[in-house]
Amino acid sequence: MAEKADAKAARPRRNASGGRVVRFPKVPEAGAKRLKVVVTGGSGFFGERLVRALLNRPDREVVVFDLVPPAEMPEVRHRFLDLNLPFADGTLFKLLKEERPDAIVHLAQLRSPSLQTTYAHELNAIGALHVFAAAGEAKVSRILLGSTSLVYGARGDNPNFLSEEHPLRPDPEDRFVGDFVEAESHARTHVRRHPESRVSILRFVPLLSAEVRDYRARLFAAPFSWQLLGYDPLVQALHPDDAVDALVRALDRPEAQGVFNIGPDGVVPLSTVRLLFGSLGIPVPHPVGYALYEAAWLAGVGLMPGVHAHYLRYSCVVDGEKARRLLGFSAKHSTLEVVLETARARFGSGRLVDFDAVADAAIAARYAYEQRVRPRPRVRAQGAAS
Amino acid sequence: MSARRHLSPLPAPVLKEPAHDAGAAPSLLPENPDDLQHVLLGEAARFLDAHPEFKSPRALVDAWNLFRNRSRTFLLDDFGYDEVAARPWAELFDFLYTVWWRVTLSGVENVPNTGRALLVSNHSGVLPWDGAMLKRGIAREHPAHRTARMLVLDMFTTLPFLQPWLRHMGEVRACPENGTRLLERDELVGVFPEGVKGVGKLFRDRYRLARFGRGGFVRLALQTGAPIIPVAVVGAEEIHPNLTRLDFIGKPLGLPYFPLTPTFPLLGPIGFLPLPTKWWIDIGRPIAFDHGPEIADRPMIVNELADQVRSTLQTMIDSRLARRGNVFTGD
Repeated sequence: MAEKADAKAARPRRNASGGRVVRFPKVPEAGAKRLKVVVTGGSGFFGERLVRALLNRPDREVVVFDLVPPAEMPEVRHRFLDLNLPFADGTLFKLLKEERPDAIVHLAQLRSPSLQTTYAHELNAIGALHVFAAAGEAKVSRILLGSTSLVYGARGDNPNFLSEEHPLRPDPEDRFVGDFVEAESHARTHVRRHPESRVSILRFVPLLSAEVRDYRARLFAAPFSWQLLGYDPLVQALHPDDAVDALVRALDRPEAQGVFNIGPDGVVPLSTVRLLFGSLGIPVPHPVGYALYEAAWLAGVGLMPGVHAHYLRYSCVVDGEKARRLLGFSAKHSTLEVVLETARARFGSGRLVDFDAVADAAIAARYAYEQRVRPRPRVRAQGAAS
Repeated sequence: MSARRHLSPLPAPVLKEPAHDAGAAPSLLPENPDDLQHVLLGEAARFLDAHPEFKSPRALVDAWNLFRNRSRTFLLDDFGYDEVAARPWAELFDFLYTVWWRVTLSGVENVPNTGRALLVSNHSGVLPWDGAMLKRGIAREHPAHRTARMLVLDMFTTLPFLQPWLRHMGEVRACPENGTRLLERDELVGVFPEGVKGVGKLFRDRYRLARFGRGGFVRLALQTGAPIIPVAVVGAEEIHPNLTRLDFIGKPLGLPYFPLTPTFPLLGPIGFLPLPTKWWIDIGRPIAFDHGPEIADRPMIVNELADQVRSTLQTMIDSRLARRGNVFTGD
């Protein structure tokens, strides 16, 4: 009898029809202690989506720290916070003392380069410093910092897929990316000062959907843009829903600390993005291209400083394997699907591109990816089939 | 509403007289046929009515973009390899393989039909034609027609035009991360451990293997459990006899070497034409290490294994050289 029971326990649990039993995580009851989450920048594009996702969860309580309350969500608690004001850390400390949250998600950042470099630096780099300082004093141990995958820098000698251990090598002149690197360095300093804290840095691949209007989405959607002659880097694009999903999962797993790349499956060459958006790439030799981007930027009509054109020259593609393993996150939309759906939603009518055929190709590519490209372990599991 | 509505984004031509019949559609053609501007606008409007797919100004850009990308597909792998875009180039490589260099490939049965393996080859010839020929040879003569994914030096993968082209062809920048990723997906991967020291070798050093990097390829094989298959390429050393390296030109241009051959840079573009030597590509027996992946962190053992592969390869090259006669005919 006992032997039989042991044999039963060793086998994976199966239901009557032979299928495997999947255990879903328990949904806590409404009366239980709810995790209180502060979202800085909760009225921004990204933060608002996170707040909306957290509102659907009965075990989460959300407070937004931002300049304005989030639109169309009157039930959300909002506290005024301006990270650019002097003594913002003191203000934030008082707010945290009053609210006593369990976790902070810091998303109060500009996600496009700004000509007002001082303002951008104060918000993106010093803002994170304030958040970590106040959180340390207020003893809020769980902090999630939203960063960007651009921090690795676009370099010709990057591996095709950058892992979290890869050194951060953006161009030192690129202040927009440099501010994110500095924010991450504040996170590291915070972990050194408060070893008990549980800090996660999520490096998001730049977002793209029909609603995104950051500099990159505007560059892709522009009628024309300068193309660095002879260069065609691979790019990734993350759907905002996937980015929010990664944050929600990171909040569910307080034990998952450290740096995570949050990226989609698959890559797409920049030329394919231009093709789907119907954007004309005017080829210019790359030194001229840098100069033209810089000139437009200084004239106030450009989208990004010239030095940021590195990202139109070399790939900066991240490997999301760690997030898949430790956060259980895998993006529902591949890069090609994100680019395709965005292009179709924004410029879908009166086009020569057959979007349905591309959508079929995207499905086929996804299937091929599942079949062929998923890594197989070095040592194959024995007797798995028997 | 009439069946023929004015669908174009252009303003409707102003009619001089109101139409007699209110039910009839106003003609898009201008009243005054001599008015050239109106004639052209009318033609454009008629064209757009007939071709509604051109309604968006982006359609014109589409026409250009579709033409530019006519050979490309959306079925790329993680590294941007486009099997369909790479296919037409096979004809050029077949010409070089069969006519120009008359490659004799031996030992193709040592390449497994499935599963991971690491091809380790000597490197020579100023321009990396040897990699292209090894890849083409396996694709042509192997029973499974496997595609070898070559790990290419940075100096080639960062050059304009070469960067997207090499990617379409399935080549990958040489670094441990890329090699591991490919081998974990059970690909056939080709490496040239001599690197830039091999491809920029001087003519007087021909067929003498340079240092095998830092043994990275052994580490790659140990970590992924892939067997190493040594490949000796004979004949490629003489395609561009590199007499000396002109560092005073190469250094300012940021090139790792600037060769001086009998034809380059003296004869300009003709200097890029490789000499039609006779080639042999010998694929040796796979070398499977008994060591586990933990040995990858023991540099001395890694170096020893790398040296073992290097001497195996040198022996293969020497034995082929001993049997070779004339450089151009092979007799």
